[in-house]
Amino acid sequence: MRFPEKFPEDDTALADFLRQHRHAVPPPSPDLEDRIMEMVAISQRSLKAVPLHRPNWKLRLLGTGAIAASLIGGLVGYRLLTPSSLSYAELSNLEAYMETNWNSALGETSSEDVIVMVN
Amino acid sequence: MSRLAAVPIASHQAQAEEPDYALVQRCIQGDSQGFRLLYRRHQQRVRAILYQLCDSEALDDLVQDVFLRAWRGLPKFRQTAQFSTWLYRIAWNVASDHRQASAKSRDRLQVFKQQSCRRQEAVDVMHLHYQDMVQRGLAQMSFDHRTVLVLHDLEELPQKEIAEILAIPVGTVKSRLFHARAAMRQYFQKEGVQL
Repeated sequence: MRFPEKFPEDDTALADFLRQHRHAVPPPSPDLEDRIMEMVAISQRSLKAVPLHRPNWKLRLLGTGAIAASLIGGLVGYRLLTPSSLSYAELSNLEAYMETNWNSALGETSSEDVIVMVN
Repeated sequence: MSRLAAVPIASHQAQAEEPDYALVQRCIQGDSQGFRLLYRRHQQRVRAILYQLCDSEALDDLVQDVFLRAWRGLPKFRQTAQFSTWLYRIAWNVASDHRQASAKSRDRLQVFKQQSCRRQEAVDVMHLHYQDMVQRGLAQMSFDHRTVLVLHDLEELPQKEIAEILAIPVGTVKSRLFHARAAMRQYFQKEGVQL
């Protein structure tokens, strides 16, 4: 598309014609101003009722610190409360205990029970 | 009784001379009477811009929308721009939204014809014909071209201010104005009017 080298600033004939023959703007309804001011008052009241200011930086810092502290506390607690792994001696004791219990349990099985199980 | 009579004359004159930025400050501090003065000062032009861009029957509602948006936006208004420039930008936004919303509704030309019929008895027939033509010429333009033509040739705003209102370079304003005028002239020629 070709553009002219420069755009003429004025086209007075056209502008005058447009201004002369434009539609007259209809007048506002008599209560428009009061209607707008009423809406403004309502909007003002609602703004006062719900303050939009944010908490100051000290409060925000305090909140962030509290969250961080609770996270760290949770982690430390988890590590402390989790039982540590058993030593070799403890494992041997436990194994021996389970073995004894198992044998005694088997030893107490009556011959009737064995027959029932076979049938 | 006029609403203006409610304000004492001396104080009303003093307030009328108060610059926009001072009234804006009063509004930000919660003084809604400052906003009333801003409304009285600017409503006529806002109304004219909206009417030329939308030629709408809902003009009062659109004006109300503009001023309410302005009131709510005042705390964010940076006083680097003029209040009027900022306000006209809101008016342009409202007009733009309205056009999009009513694009599928009835033909605006029909509205215009109804209005013309109502006024026909009182107005000269030739003038009425030209009014009809101007209105149809504006209606057949793109919204961008129409906006620039209305703001510059009808509302006589400077190109620099139009550029600020529309947030476009001055060169683009010049270009749009050139093409809008060319389109309008072409339309008039087609209608048998030589300017």
